[in-house]
Amino acid sequence: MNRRKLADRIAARVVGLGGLGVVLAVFFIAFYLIKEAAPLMGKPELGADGPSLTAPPAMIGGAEKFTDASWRIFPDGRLQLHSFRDGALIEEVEPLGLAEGEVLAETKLTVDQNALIFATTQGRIGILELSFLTSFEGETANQESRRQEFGALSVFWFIEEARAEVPIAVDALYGDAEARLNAWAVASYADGRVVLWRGQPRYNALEDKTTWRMRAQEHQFAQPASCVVLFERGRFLATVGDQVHGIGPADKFAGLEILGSETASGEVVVARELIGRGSAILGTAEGVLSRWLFQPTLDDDAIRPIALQEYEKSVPGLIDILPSARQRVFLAQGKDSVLVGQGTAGTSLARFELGKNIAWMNIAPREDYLLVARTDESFEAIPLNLGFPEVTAATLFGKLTYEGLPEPAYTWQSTGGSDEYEPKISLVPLILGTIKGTIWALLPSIPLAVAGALYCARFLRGRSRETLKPFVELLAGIPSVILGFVGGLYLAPALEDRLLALFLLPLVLAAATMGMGWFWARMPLRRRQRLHEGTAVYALVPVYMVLGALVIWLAPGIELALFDTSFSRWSVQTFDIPYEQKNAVVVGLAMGFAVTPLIFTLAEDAFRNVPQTLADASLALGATPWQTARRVIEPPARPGVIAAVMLGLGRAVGETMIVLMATGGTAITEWNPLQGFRALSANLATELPEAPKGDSLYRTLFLSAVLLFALTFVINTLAEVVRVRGRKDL
Amino acid sequence: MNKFFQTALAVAAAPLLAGLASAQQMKVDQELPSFQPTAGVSYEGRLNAVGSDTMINLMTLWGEAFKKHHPGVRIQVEGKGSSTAPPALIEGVSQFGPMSRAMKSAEKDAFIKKFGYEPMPVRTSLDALAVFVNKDNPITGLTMEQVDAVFSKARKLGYDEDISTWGQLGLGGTWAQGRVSLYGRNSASGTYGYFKSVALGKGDYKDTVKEQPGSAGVVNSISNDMLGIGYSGIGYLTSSVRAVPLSVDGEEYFDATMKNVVSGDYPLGRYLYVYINKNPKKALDPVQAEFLRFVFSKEGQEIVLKSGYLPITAGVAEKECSKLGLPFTRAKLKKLPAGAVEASSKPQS
Repeated sequence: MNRRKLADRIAARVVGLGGLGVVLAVFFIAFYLIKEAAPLMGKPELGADGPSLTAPPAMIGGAEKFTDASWRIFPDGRLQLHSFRDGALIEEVEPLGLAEGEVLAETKLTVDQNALIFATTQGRIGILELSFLTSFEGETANQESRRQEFGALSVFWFIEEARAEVPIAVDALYGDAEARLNAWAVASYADGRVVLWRGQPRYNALEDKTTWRMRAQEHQFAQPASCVVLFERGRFLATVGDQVHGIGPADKFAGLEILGSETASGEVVVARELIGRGSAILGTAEGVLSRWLFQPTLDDDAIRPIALQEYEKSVPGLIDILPSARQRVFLAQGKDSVLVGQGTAGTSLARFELGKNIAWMNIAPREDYLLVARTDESFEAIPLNLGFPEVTAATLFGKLTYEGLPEPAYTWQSTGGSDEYEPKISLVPLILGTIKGTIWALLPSIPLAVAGALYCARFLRGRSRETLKPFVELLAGIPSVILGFVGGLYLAPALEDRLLALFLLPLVLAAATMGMGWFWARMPLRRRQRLHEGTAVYALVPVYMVLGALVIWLAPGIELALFDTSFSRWSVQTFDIPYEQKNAVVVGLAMGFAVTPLIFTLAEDAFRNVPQTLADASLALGATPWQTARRVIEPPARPGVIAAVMLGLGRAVGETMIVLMATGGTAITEWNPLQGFRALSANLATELPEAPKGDSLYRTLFLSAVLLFALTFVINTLAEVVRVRGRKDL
Repeated sequence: MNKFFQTALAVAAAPLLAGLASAQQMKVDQELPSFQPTAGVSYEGRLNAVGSDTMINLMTLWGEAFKKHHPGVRIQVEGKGSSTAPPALIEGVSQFGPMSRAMKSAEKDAFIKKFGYEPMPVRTSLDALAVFVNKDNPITGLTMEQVDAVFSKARKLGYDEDISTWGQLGLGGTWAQGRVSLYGRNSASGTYGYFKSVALGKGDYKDTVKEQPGSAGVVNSISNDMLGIGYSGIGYLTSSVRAVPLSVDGEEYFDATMKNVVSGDYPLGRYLYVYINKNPKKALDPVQAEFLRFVFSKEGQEIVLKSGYLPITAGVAEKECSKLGLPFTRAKLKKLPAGAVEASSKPQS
């Protein structure tokens, strides 16, 4: 084999390998993105081999936050703590100080599991704070040496003195003196009364002590209310049979007002709030579950209780509803099965069978175990994997009613300050934002780039053509971060003051071009011949520059004279079209600098690749240059031009920095170009660095990355296919 | 967040920031001890801080100043976002995890799984969020309910109506018709989360709040937008914007001064945290301990002031030191300084 052949073969291999490498890299990236997003598909599941112990089930119980020990409370007020490690009783205390013969009538754990709400048979109502002390045995601190015991257990009383009446149902909410938050409690009695207590913190500087000023208001129903659930700021739901009443304190706590009443599908037997106390799950005697919340109405200022989705699956023999302490997820405990439901979208996720003789169950605070106490005194912690229940097709793409908002909407607002915040992770506004940004970037770019390319390739002559193309290509080299920076910091405020210029410029420049054409046609032929056809266009440059500068310079003055204020503010006031300073037009202009050169270069190549012989033949047959361009040059160049536009589209879809800096990242679903938008790419750039690794937001962001990847991949592949097909046809 | 872009922002913000500290005339608590390097020991080793990009300047300045006392210590600061802090702490790559938001429960779980105990948050400095308007805006003050109604679509604090024009906030003339143009920090940042949970009562931002990647970006946008209003750290105050006095009860309005923040009168003050891996059974690594002693010294807190945040008081420093098992002796006072009140604003955990 001679050397040339060898070199040939090596080169072919290297190129082939390089190509293969690129393909592999693309697949690897896709694989990685999908791998990170895939766990979102997982369903809640139960594991096996969790710790267990033997202890009397008592009334209710739970685990401390490390799931090292389990506590339970007995009707007589005894509180026990058992270690999961060896099943031994660590401690038994009596923090409530119940009187002789007094036992607990009602108990309920707060949703964050840090406190126990209770009512006794002597009518006393309070909240027991559950606190645990963690210590470490021996020399080192690790999982094995960790020990738990009860910390300071204090009781916050709503009613401390014994009284005759015992509540049927009770709910309460901790106050916070430092944050100036009131404490609330609500109880329903057998005579049909529902009582709301409000505890207002009063700080006494002299004694350095906080006292709580307690006031009560009540409402009388004909029949006793079976369930009560407290929401924020003293609002609560009370259920009487199948009637659900939304009640709230009147102004200045002067009384109770019925805010609205609705009918549930059956007699309500269980009602529990979800974390954040912005919505509640109600269950009927038939086991039908539904989600309820207080919704502000659009027409008047009222706030009414409304029932949202009924859950698809029902729970026969519904006993209790257990909300998670971390997210809007709950377990509905039935006679012989447990249903996992999701709050925001109202989806039932999974059903577990746990056998019979269950005394009570609870979710461990870290959601890692399902605690099951049975009447035969066995107690197990079953490993629980909830997966990512807050991310479902419905929360990602559905129009949902969120807590506290008047209408169902597509919303992206993924994080709040705490776990109590209801994440809103609809990808719809982001996808619309990407499309909107792309449209407004391409709208001015495509005609400019394609027409410019046609002119440059077929009309310009000689040196100017050779210099113009690299010059435009140079524009493509401007880093997009700089374009975004200029767009956001300079262009946006400048445009607000001279929005009119945006409308005037095209008109003025078009008029100027026509005028110059008219002038050119009037010129004597001799003159025209001396000025070459291709170079005549340079006469337009100074005209454009002068007129353009003039329009931009004069625009604010014209606006002030015509509208008495800036055009943008005038149009806002007159047509009620919202105007945002950092809007899609600004992005379109800035992105135009990135996209136009790209389309221009590729389209110019396409136009130039059409054989000159075709054009010559056409011109020789008497066609005008325009007819030649339109009918002879354009058809064979079309696939190339389409490919150029597609590549520009791909660039605009994936563009990040310009969008990030020149818009406000407002996740709206409006097409108005004078408002901003939030694109998938910019959203990834802002949120990924702050998203906790491996949690649902992190994975949702990866899912949006998969979408973005797929979108650009498809567009670019299509562009390539069109180009290759077109080349074959030529 | 993109490095280039941050540099660009920093460059743009630098002239605005210069002269800030002098303008506000704030002083660190005189009771903070001045830093005495441990005598006779020349520390060697590495200190890494990985975490929030908002606290990166502060960490870098501390590192540089600390190196003057202990040239043998190599300090590296990496600011790629708060979410990079917990993994770095867990893997032992970093000693400090500056975070602009509180650790999420999932992140704590991962830490506990490895070590058995919880990561320890250390209060290192104070940040007061201010509500900024354009310097020409004549508004005299806002109640927290009004702030909520301006920024939030949920209005959890209970204001009667949505506020969308300046007229609704009591401005007359040409201002009355002007639409309020909203600016805020990027979502998921600590400032964003804190403002949401305190000023908006955990309610939702309006979709029209324009998110700016940095505090300087918020201030800059408002100086260019007559109708703008936005929130960010008070350290970014410039001559072209104004911080609006805020009121909780609608009667007394408070400026975002250090005195009002520390006394709790100003409603938007919060602590900034650095998370560390503190084994409850072991003392801190000596280099780490020395660095933290520096942070809680007068010199360390002067750097806080320099980088646009508010210093902590001697009382808080003392508490943090005792939590960490570090010695802390209050400096002897010549006379009682005016602003040295014990902190009472609630820390966010």
